[in-house]
Amino acid sequence: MLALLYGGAFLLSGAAALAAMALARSAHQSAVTHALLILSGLFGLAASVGYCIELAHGVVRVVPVYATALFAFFVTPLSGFFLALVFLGVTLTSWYALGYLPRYHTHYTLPWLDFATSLFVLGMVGTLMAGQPFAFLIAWELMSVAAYFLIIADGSRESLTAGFRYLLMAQLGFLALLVGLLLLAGGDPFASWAAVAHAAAALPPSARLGAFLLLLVGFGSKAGLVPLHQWLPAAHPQAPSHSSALLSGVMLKVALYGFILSVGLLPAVPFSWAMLVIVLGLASAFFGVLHAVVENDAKRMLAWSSIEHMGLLFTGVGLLLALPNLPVGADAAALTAALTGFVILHALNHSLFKSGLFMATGAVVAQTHTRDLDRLGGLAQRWPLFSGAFLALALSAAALPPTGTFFGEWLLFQPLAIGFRSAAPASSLGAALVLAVVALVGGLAVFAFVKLFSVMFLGRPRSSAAEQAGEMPLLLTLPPLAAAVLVSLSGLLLFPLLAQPERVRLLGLPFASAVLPGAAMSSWGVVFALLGSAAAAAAFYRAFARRTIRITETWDCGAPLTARMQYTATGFSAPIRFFFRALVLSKKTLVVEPVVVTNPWIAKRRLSWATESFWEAGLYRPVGRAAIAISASVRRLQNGAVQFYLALVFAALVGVILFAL
Amino acid sequence: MGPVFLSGACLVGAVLAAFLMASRMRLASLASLYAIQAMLLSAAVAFYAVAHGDASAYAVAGLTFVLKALLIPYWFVRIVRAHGSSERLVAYARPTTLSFGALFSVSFAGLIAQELARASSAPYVALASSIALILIGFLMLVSRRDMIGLGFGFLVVEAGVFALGLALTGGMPLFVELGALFDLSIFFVLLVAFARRAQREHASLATDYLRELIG
Repeated sequence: MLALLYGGAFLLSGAAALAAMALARSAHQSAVTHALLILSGLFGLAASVGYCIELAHGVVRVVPVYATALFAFFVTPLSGFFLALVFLGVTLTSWYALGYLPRYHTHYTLPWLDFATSLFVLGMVGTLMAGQPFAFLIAWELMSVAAYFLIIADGSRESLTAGFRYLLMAQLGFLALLVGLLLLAGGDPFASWAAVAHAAAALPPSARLGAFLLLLVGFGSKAGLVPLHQWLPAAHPQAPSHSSALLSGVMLKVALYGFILSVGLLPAVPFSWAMLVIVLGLASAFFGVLHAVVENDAKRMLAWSSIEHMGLLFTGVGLLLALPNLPVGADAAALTAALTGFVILHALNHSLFKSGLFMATGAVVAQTHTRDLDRLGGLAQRWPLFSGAFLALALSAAALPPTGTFFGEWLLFQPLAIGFRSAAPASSLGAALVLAVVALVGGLAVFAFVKLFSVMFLGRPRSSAAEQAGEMPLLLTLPPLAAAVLVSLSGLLLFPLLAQPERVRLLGLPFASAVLPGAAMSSWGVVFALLGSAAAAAAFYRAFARRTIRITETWDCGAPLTARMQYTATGFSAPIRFFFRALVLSKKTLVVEPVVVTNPWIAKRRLSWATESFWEAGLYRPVGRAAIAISASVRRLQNGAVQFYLALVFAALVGVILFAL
Repeated sequence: MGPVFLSGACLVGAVLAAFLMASRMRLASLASLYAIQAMLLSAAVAFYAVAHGDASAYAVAGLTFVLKALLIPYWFVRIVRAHGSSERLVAYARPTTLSFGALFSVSFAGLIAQELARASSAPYVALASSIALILIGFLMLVSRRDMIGLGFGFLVVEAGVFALGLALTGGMPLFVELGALFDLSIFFVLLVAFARRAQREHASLATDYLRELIG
């Protein structure tokens, strides 16, 4: 039954791709395609629920979906968890697309966009179900190439540039994965994962290190790990919002799955490798959130935030990999359980709130026609329900209670704070440093999402577009609202479950598990405490507030109050930009436009401001310049004489023969 | 003298033909030598078929003979004459130098084959001959200045790869050989089309004019 449901979900996403093409001339094409995708998501969710029930009853098994010598697809507890995230994301975003895409039918070529979306979903599902490297790589490439077409869907110059960057990084990443997986598999792409693990155990340490680094580059580049992240904030926001939600909320988890799967194939991970993962994770979290704070483009800000959260997830995985090498004594099992709980809960929550935020931001953009935060504002009064959903999602992204993200990050903070007490001083110091960075990231995340929500929804509208925004349609409100409800409930429902060690172990993650003493916390207790505080505040207000309220204009020295007097997104983030000016390279230009030609003093002055990535200026540009210089010198070989080219081939042939002998 | 010995002798003969081709500067001479080489190769396959009782190898020998020994040399000469191209071919080096180059290639092939024969069960003569054919073919590709010479150089490389397949695997399956022969036919068609265009544009088949095509 489970195999049928999973297989049905897989086939339905393929059927959606066929429907997109077959009905290209029909007015109902997009609706049919997304209905099929919703059906695929529901089939997958039904399978996931069934699988969870089996696991809860202690039945741990692999669900075979389809197997031949060439392709093998099956579902394990680990891939089942990530498949549930994909199906949840697909259901929500396709539901949203039903209301979102008809508004853009002249902007996008809908049959091609829906075709690419369906193939993208098919690729993600195939990657998670793949039972051997060959199927994994084919499905991964399908996902990557389909994502490219989502990014360039509007055909604008900005999208094409972002798409090119993405494609370049995706292909380099694919190459790294191809070589890394083949290295682990001993050159046999059709070997099962178990056989790959067996072959990896026989590899010399240097080959294992090479494979690990290649896989880290391959999966890290897709997940947006620093310094391979530069493409992500440019590419994800360019796609239509339902696709951005899938790219940022779901595809990044597929990369995380790939990394966990591949480290599970290795017999052991030395401490230095784990440290590398932790350092990259922390750097990604820090740079991601820093740029999220200073970014003024709403969708790009969300993309930066994705880098932050993927960084935190990789930090968690890195800590899990480091634990077997640390002298933490009896606490090791408890620490592992807590960190595993963090990875599970945070992956789920990020998937939900990031999909929700992208969908909600897409809805705002659809109504106001701008992504610039400095042109928004005052939307909460117009869309109270929608802004409530957005607030819940923003609270979740900032990891504030009572959302699930708070409980997820709690499972990361607690082990770092108390788990290493009995360890050696060096380990405790290391944990304290990690804790400090994670805490800094958490603080900056609160700052970033306070900015996003307040500038977008509070105060007065900063532009006529925001002022004249119409009613928010229900079809654009409900999917983000559903994501907000789910992310609010996830902590309450899943946190108590994850505190039980046997539940964590059943997921089949390649780590041992147990409960961390002292990390326990009642999620319901937190909610009741919050509700109690709110009730107490309300009672206090009722008891002591002035009974008569006089509504009048805000005092502003006699001048009329305008939206220009409000705090802007740029102004809000100025202290952070100043503090981290060595890392966020700001470029300010004063643009002076004379109003009267004869008098230069009468002029309009405005400040043009842009930020530049530290990595782009310090790494990508110098590497790019070096590559161009090398290419220019190599180009001298291109003299047009075909015999010379053949001579090079001949020399290479002779050289290879001599080397082989 | 069994069929295996005769098969090896034919391959050595094919190398000798290639050695002579390396320094030939007339189209008719080059085409005749190529036809002889192809005949010897098809004979080598036929002797191999006798030795191993492989029925499909007879078909490969027959097809090789028809396409490489009869059709390609005939069409080559006919098309060049039809276009009015020069039958006097040109190279970057003198014939004596090219002969020495070919001799060096054969010696180098002999050395490589010694090492390869130790690592595999393939006969030394067959390995050495096939590698020598590939190296001489490359020498022709590098040293010739006209498309006709380059075309024949490619055909000699292809003959070497064909012989190497025979030496290492006892001949490829029939469908692989059919595919290879089809590829060869396509190459020939493309070469003719390209040569025709070059003759019309530059009144010459010299590759020196192609230098203008660099980006």
